[in-house]
Amino acid sequence: MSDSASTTSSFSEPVKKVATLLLFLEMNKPALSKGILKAMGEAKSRIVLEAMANLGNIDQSSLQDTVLQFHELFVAKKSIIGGKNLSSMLFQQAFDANESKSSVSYDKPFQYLESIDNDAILAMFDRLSMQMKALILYYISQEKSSQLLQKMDTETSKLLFKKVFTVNVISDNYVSKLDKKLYEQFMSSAGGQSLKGIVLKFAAILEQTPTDKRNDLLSSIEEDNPDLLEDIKANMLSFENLVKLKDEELQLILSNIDMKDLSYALQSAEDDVKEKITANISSRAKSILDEELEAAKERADDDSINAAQLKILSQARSLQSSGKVTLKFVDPDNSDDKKDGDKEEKKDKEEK
Amino acid sequence: MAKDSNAKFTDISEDDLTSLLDIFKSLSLTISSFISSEFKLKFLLSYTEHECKQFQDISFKEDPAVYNELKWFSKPALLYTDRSFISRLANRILGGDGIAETTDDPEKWFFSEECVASEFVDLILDYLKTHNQLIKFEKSVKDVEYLHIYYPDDVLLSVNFKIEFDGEEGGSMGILMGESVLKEYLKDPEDSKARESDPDSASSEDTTD
Repeated sequence: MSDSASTTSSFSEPVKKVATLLLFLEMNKPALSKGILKAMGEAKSRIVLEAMANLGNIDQSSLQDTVLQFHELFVAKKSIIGGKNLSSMLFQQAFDANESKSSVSYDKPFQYLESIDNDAILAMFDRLSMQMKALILYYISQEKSSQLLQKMDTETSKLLFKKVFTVNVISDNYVSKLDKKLYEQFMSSAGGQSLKGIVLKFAAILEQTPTDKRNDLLSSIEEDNPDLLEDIKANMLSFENLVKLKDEELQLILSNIDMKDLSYALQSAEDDVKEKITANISSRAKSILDEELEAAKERADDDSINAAQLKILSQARSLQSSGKVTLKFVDPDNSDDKKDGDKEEKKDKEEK
Repeated sequence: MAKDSNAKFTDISEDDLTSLLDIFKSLSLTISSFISSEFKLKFLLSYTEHECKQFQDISFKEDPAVYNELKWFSKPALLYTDRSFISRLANRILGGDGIAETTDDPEKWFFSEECVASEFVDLILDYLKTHNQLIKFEKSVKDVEYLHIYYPDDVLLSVNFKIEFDGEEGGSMGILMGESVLKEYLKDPEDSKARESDPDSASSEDTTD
């Protein structure tokens, strides 16, 4: 499963959090957010404002979490610092451990990429020459370069690795111009103009479309473009494939849904789905679920089952938007994932 | 050297044409110095040939190129550069060794090629503007068929230049201009400026064209 289909997918979670907080402040104390942006400087503000423009609807719980997180950082710890220090600290504290280590500087070219999701950068890389990719890797932090190189195929990463060593910039001025153009182009297409973005967007829309209508739409896509259909399906989240998620993500989703909804959703589920789900809830929740399952047996019909499943998927997407889950499926062929899964299973058993 | 010309201008004599070409040759050298210092590389734009032909008889190379429609003294002109040069220049600007890198699909250009193509024409126009040339960029296309700025029987002057950078031949550039542009060019720059700012005068000129 790919990252969020939302328009903010290309911004990292910490940047989204800063954007959410500033949006909250803008609604409540407009003068304060203006001051923070001013002190933050143009380059940083540009990124945060871009993320703000792409935030879309923020659910109450995500907003509350973000505000509480900042409250915890600045107020509960009694470290109240004003002016320029506040903005710097706000930004530094907002970035997670890895990113804060990378000492982000916005004076060098391509530094805004430090806060962009790696998958989004790689999608953008498809349109760039090898030399331009090498130039970007030359300027960005070693952590970010390393993450990107690891995600590329071996041949490409080898070739880029060699090119980075031979980069010889002849005009900083033109590199800056290219950097600016790339920023404008990339940020304007970050809202889902790429085919991948459109696929993710429509996959998320189709998830929330009633089954009959969804099947009609999928059939019409299949007639025109079977490959596109496969791509959309591969990115669609269904109630059944929730069990392909990492246990820790499934547990988090299940802990955020009503057992009554789950009991309805499970009425049409296969046994393996039921088993996986019951294995990922606490024994107390399981006893409640058993009671609800019995009660739902009598009352559930296709519409109520469908509605309950959609509600659970919607909750999963909401958790993804707030950065709590990735909704990436565990690849059964990937030993690392499997190892992780085994570890989680062991951990679960220990907890139980 | 001039090729065998199939067409002649009505109001521009051979002497005028020779003077104009001398100006272009000199201009190509000064543009070379300007671009060399801007891109920080050895760049040389040198005149190779010119011809006067009807637009329908002008054959463009089949190699991919970028065609820029300009308005020079409010009259159409065309400046084109081949892709291999743009790709090589893009590679050098990006810190490479100047080897052309293009996409598998010849129709698609890399982002850096697009940017450098636009930077290159901007740079030439900036230079000409600072030297009192009334010139502006209209649009840029990859297929000359998409440009409709001349009628098939319009007589044009086509001037070709070769481009060298880092001491090696790196591509070519061409300019197409109609008689109306050349006539303006032969006038005193201040007259042309005055004409530009007087719309009535400009429109009457267009009508006679």
